[in-house]
Amino acid sequence: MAVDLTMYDPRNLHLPEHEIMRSGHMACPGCGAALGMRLALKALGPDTMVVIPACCWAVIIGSYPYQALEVPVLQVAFETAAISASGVRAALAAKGRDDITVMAWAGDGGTFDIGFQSLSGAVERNDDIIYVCYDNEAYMNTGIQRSSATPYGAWTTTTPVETPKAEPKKNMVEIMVEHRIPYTATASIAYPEDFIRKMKKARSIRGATFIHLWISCPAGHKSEERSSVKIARLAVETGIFPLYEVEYGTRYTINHEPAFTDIREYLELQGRFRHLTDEHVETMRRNLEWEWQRLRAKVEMGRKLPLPPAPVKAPVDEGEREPAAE
Amino acid sequence: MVELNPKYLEDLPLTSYSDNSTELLRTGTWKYVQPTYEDKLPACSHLCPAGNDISKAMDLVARGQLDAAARLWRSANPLPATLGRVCPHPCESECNRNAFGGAIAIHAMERFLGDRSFDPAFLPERAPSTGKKVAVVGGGPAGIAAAYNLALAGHGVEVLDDKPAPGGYLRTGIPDYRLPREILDREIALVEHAGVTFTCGTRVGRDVGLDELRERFDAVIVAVGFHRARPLGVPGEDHPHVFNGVELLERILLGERPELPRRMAVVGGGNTAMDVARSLLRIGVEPVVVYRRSKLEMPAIPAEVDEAMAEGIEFNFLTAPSRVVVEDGRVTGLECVKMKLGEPDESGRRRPVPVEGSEFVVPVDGVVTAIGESADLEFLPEAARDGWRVAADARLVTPEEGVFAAGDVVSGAGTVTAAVGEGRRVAAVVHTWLTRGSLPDEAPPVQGLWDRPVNLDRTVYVEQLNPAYFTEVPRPELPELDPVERRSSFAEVMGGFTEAEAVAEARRCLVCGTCNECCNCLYFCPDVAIARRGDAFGFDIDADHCKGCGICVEECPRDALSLMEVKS
Repeated sequence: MAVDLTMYDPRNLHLPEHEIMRSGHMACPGCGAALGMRLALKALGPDTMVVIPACCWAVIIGSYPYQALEVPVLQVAFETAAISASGVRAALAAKGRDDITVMAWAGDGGTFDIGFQSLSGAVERNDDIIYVCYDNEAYMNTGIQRSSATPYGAWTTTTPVETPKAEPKKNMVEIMVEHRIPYTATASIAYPEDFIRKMKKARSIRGATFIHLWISCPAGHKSEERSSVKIARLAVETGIFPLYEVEYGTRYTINHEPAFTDIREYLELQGRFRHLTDEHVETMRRNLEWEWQRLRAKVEMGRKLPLPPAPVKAPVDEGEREPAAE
Repeated sequence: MVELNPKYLEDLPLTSYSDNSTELLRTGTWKYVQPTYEDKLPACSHLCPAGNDISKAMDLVARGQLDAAARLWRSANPLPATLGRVCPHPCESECNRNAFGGAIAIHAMERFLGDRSFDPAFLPERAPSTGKKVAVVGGGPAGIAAAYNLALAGHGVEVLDDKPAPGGYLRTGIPDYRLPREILDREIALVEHAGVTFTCGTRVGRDVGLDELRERFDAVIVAVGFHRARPLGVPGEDHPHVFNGVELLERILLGERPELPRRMAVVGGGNTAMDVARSLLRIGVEPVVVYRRSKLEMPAIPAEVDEAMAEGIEFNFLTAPSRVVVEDGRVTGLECVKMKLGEPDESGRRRPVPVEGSEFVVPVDGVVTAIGESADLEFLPEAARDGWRVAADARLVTPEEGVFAAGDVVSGAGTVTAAVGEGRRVAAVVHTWLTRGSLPDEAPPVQGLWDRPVNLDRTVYVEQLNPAYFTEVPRPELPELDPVERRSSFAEVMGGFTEAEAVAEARRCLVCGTCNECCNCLYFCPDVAIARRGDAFGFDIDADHCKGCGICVEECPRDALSLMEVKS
């Protein structure tokens, strides 16, 4: 959070020191996905297995015989991130190991579009996995094609500036919430303490958890490499990407009240929005306002409602698992 | 536990398996720019005439290392407890915290650190003796700063002063309610402890000649300051109830309580005028300040003017004296003429212009003049003089070989702080000359004398900070003596920090341009290419794996990193 921590301690952020991601990976300079993985594994610790489908991270991790993570990784087909993670969990159960966290780590294409049915199946069964969608809002790895995560108005190679994307971004978090899984949250690389707390919380839950991580992509967003964290922060501060979490499809908590900075500050840093007209921006603003009205209404609704009655999908047993090594 | 049938394992297809670390891949070769840790000059230190390393000291206080901070502050500045009381603190006007809740109370911090370090254990270690001897003419702030730094550098230093005790204007011109004598005495005692000898009651030009000094010493520094009051130049000025402000103030501060008229005009708008008026008030005289320009143009420290006004002192602005009215041998008033402000003059302030026929009389029984001072330089040869200043160039060197100059006699800056800074600079020049036999092209800027490397060409203003990491925190109020109580006492007006208050205030400091190990660079690197140094302060960048994205530079809250082109 943008708290003036210098007031309390000259060292602002307090993150786990242990590194599980290694240097020398193949990510572009300024890659948000690389930073995201680094932070996620700081939270989960070494007793973690990672499943990666086709996505940027299938490349970032390094080609044979190199590997950028100090934990076991299974690389699988595009549409199978969630079901493969379910399989790893079943294999661990068969071996009597319940001390390992299984994380599926997929891009927005592999989550919103191609891996959608297997993800829906896995969370409907409430398999004990953490599914992280690192969302750079297009198929960046294959040449910046639009996905259903691409926002309204954005340029991609399949939505050229003459006809930018006309549809709004699919609301994946709400779709997951409607599966009534124990825990769904959004997170941002610009708010690492919040992201790490959410990953640790997901780790403590037996059942399916879904984390939607917004990341910058200098190559696909046509932005400056050095601005990656700044853009991610502006996505939150403009209100475009709210930081919130939902328990059992019911209890909504907004984790950071944005400053509602002018969205132009966010748009101007990215070449993929350079063609936007005032009309486009106005449409975005109206949509943003409506999204926030809806989110706040859900927060209110969640306050009035009790948690869902039986059958509840899985008990929350926070803290039972060994804490992550730091 | 499920037992696997080995038959199935044999049927599994071959799968590629990677187990070499990507650390073997030197992805750092991709970059064309690279980040480098580079401390820059904070806006506060940029404006500090004494050249204090404010951000580093604030960071130490914030970490609770109060003694280390006090040691750092006193390492080259011999008068922190004094300056923490009398400095006009221009640093605070440019403090980047102004954008986030109000300037850091740097002035109060200097006083806190000064008051904490009266023990000789806080002095830096003295360098081995060089066998060289330096005479400093004038024991004011410039002379003391020069002597202190030269003594610490290993030279033998003697300060000659014509007054009974050293301190110059600090002793004879600044009243106790701003600077208690005990504070000054303790700081001077520390300077003596650092190896400086003070010879008081000796006036150069009367008791000893410049030539004799040049013979006995390897270098001579002239830092005599401004002591001679300028005359008013109006009829009636020679009346015994028309006093010279500098002399009157000196007498009052030495404890004399002369018979004075009941109501007196104090002519002038500088610090001397304020000090005279406020001191007169405290010994039962009713002062009336007469100044020819408006409050905005007053050269006095604004806080001093506000304090004087709070104490109930009467001010007449845009009023210039034209005649002392004497009736039956007694002063009955000061005839003045009203002024209006015209075009700006060479000092940038608007020039006062008399309003025709606006003469009026301010009823007073006496007058004190405090319209500025000049130097007494008759002991110097003609060539070394330039009007009322010493003829010194940008190196602080006079045309007389081995004779240097510092303080008001060079710059006329008129503040104790500027004098201390110039004392430090002349010490650096003299040290180079004595040890290497050469002179620099110009005296180094006072910030260039810091122990730690700082890019002096880059000053960090609020535009260079990353505002995402700072929120508003209000500036604390400092204790101040009640104005009614002040009117009758020379007790100190301003209070200081407690330890807890000092730490809390230092934590409000943004530590501009100075790495404080906040770890943003470490945590936000997508390439895990930044590591703590372990025992030493700061971080190292792994050039083999840094791809030069620049996130660390962008996310540094305080502009302590720079992006440089990679030299192939």
